[in-house]
Amino acid sequence: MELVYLGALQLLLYDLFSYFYLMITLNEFTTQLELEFDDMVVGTLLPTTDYRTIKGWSSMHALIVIAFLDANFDILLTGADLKQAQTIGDLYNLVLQKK
Amino acid sequence: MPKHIEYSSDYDLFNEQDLSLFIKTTGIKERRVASKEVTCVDLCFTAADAIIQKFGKEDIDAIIFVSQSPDYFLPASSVILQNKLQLNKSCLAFDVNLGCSGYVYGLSIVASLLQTGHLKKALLLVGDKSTISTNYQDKSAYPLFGDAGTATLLEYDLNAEPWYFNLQSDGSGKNAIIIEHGHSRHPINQSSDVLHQIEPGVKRTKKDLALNGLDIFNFALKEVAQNINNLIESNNVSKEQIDFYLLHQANKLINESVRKKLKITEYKVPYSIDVFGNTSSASIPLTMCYKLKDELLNGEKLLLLSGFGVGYSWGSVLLKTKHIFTNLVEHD
Repeated sequence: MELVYLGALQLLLYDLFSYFYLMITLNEFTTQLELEFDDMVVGTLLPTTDYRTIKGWSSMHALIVIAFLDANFDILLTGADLKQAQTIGDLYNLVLQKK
Repeated sequence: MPKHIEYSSDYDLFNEQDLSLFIKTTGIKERRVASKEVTCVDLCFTAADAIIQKFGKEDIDAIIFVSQSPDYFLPASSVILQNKLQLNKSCLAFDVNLGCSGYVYGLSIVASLLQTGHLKKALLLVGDKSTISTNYQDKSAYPLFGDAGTATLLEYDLNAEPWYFNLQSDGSGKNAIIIEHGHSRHPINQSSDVLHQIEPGVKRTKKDLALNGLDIFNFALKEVAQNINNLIESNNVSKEQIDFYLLHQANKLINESVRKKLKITEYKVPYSIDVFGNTSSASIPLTMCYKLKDELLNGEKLLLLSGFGVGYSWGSVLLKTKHIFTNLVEHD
């Protein structure tokens, strides 16, 4: 029970840290990213979504991701960075790392 | 530009989702495509001939042709054009092998030639027939490019204000936009015509143009705004003083990203990519003719031109214009 409590506290602190560092939570990040795609049904993207498995995912979507991160966080991801990241959560962590 | 129009909505390899995403990211709804027998030299000839009809040709001392789709490996297409346009044999003529950055580089070359005052006028002919190099089965390249040829007549003026350039190169990006086979490094051989599938919807041979969209995008976001900022800051000009920013028309998402990075209003960044596609080095002068005809004719304007891409080669110029006549001419 103690370990679970500490784990939850750790996640909460991490989320708070990333929020204050980036002023955006992982959930907000995911929602904002989803809004960049006109063709995407709301709720398609989750923090755990492997974006390359999304139906119709293409290099055009990758360009939109890169532009989104550049415009909103001043972070420039390469094609290699995108290949390394699998989920939206991984992208978020990448932003944290680069910041 | 050519009369014939191809529409993005007619491209067979796009489904509805592809088309929507393509137009959202690139901005391209239609392009002009030259017929098989028409070359970039022909397009530039038509443009140059229109200028000569209006302004004469007697004191044209130089003709520079900037293109990556000349008529032949040799002789230089500029020399062919000197003859086609019936210019004086005392005319200096040479080709420059550049694409997207070609107009800005071309202006710098002509400015260098004219600034001593020995040459009075120069014709800068700039453009590409890019559609000759793209494979229909490559949806990452074919629907992007349009064909165009442009002509700019420049004249030495003792009282003109200086132009300021910031030109850069990075050859480590050579593979981002490349035609691998067909010249000295990889002459045509049996493997040149083999069709490779790179990914679903992307098939091409080694003789076709190969684009790495992500690398190009990344390069543009990293370098273009910085290049422009450096030019502006080193010349004690504010962004607000610049009337228009003419960016190479490769991709609307790139240009919008650059515009937002520079914090410039939409009005100051005109587009022509929606109707002409990526016309390589012709895209800047084409945008000037298509979108700024009245603005350039009436009064003085402070312009920033920025070309970037294949090579990588990129550069910007800050220049003042006064009553420039522009015209769009269709080639049959």
